[in-house]
Amino acid sequence: MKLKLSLFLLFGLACFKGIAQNKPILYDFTEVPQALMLNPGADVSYKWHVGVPAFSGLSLAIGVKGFKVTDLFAKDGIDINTKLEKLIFSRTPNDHVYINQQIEFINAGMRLPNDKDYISFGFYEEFNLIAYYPKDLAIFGFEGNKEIGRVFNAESFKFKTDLVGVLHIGINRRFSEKFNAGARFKIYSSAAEVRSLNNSGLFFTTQGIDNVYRHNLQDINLSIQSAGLFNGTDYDEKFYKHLTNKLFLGGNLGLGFDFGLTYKPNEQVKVTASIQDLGFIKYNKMVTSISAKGSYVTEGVKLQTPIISGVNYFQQIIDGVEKAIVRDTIFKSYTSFRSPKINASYAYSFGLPHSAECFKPQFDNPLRNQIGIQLYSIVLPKQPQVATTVFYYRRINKYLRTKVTYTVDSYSASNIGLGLTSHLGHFNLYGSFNNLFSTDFYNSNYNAFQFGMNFIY
Amino acid sequence: MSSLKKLTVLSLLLLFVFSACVQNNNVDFTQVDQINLNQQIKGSMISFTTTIADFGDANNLPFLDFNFNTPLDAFSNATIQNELVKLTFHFNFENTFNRDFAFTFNFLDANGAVVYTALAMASKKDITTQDVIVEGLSVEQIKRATQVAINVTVINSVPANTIDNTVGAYVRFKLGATFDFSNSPQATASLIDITSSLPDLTNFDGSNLPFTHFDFVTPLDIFNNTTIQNNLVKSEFHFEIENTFNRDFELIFQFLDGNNQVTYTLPIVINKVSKTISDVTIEGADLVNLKKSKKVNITADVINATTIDNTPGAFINFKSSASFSF
Repeated sequence: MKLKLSLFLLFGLACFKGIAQNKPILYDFTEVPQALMLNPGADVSYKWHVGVPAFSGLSLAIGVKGFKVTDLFAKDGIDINTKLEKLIFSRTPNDHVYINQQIEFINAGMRLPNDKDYISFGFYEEFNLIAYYPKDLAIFGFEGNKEIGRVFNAESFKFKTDLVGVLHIGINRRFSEKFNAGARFKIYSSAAEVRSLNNSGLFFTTQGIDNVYRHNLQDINLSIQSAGLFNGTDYDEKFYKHLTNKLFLGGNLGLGFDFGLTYKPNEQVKVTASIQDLGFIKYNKMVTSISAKGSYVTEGVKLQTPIISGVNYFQQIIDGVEKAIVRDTIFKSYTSFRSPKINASYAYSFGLPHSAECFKPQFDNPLRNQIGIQLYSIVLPKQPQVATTVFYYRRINKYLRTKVTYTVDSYSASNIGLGLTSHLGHFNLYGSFNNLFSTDFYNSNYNAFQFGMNFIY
Repeated sequence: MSSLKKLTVLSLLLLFVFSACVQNNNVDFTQVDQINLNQQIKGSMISFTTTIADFGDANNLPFLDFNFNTPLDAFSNATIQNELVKLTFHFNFENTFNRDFAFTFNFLDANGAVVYTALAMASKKDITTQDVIVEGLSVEQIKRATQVAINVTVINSVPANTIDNTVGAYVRFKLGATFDFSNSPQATASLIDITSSLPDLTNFDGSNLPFTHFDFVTPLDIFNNTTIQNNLVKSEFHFEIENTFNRDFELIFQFLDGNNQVTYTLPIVINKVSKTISDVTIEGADLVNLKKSKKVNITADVINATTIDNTPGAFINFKSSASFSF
């Protein structure tokens, strides 16, 4: 059962993909104040806004690279063990899982009397998980070392997960009718982090000389770090009780910045760019790091004659490994960098001016339609992930605006997204859904939504 | 349209768009119960090279045997206890003595009782490899071992019990093992344990000698169980029969369905004045048929004779157990 659990964990970790934090619909969807969270230099024109507490921004994104739930659990009449074996051996160590979940508890903003600056601030909770498929570990768990000579590499074991509260304040300045820029300052308060990113070493079994097999542990260097979860080596049983406090400045603290700009060379063209989460968290509370380092070669116990009865010779194998592979547990602080995200876009507006259809014009964009292209990249532990989006934006009527996106990334070439935002009086309701035409959640590599409510003036 | 109606319509639209993405009628997560992981770990265990000097002074023949034991903690490991289903010992001997050696590995429990014995032989002036497979109920027995006692004796020597004193002769011994693990649930149960003496047997046909046959039928409810029907993938029966009668017997288990049709037949020959150990594995189509059984008809026949042996004190001790894999 432990083996089954292990395999499941491995597959659970191997399910998601790193592009999941991409929000192509919400990016530069300036009718929604949350667009400022993706680009603090977005071209917004509100006097003030306030989000419905805890409901102003809910988002969940689950991305999968190299695996779909149906690959394993489809009702296809194929034995699940056959499917599992195929998956284990066919996936690559670059396949990974990424989950990003956010809940905004506070989001508000106001334009300053100078009419140029818009201050926005708030607090949100964010959960992240990225885990690469530890292929060699999975194969060892699945079939052991029955294939003599197969090399198992510890490098493929790589994951990071954290739960963070983010208190932020940003300023957006309209320098001219053509140029906006903004910045956001963030204080991170991490409730917990667990990561294992720098593992190396080989394990392999060959035919032995003095005995049947020779087992090689070569340059093993394994480490796992955690913060916020353990008092020494004991799990913090009051973790959930203290969670709110930890998320709101009571956890391990860090700093970060977002920067962004918008440039409109004429009334039809808009260029934007932003970078988010240039920052770090310094972990010094409840930090536990466990490591194992060393090399060892064994062919079992080689008894020296005369053989003495009663001596625990088999224990000598274990003792040998423990002596050669040094394990250590330390409680030293460390710094963890956030995963920076970069967005950029080029948009072209066209069509009738809003005034021609009795829509109250907004001076920033008087045209009804917009098409454009967006680029997104996130820096992940192994390599940056990149996505390209083309979009069509339309102000349908006085109440409703929409944005349709088509996103291509290294995982999917069929990601159609739809965003809707309504303005009923001062009440704003928005929602966006990625991978719209993937009607089967379990047969999709990517599922994400954002949803929220605000009052905007 | 009022604002409230518009808001309602919009909310429903958003809800529809989201819920349309979540369908689960083409997946079956209960398949996880069918996952059967079969991990195999190969490992070297012990090795040694022994020369004539280790057997004592070569000039002080004869050599009788050589013993040592060592604690064995590995079987107390939880994974081994729960998931080990097969163990294969790989023996390798390089013997340059002009003598054959018999190696006996007695695995002992905490009370010093032998729970499993593995035998291997190192042939003279030869390289010998031998695999000893431990599976089924024997695996359950060896898991109780906490130490192993190794005994080496010289065999087939002339004169008897003498070591070859060839200078430079040696035995190079290597022992590796392959551990096969499975996460499939397994249940092991003792079944029948009965000792029948002469009066018991003769009473079966209500008379005294001669005895040639007895049979009885007993209901078998175990296969009515839903878990057994749906998940049982292998049954392993283990029989240990000690027969001190001077007669051979044939014992036949005939499994019958509700219409008295035979679903599976299991014959066991019990040799006279002997101890018979028999392991029977039932899987695949045979198991499908076996699951249809509602009762079992057990018959015993004397074979190669027409009368029972009437030696006073003779008995048959019959023990059986079964291991079910799900």
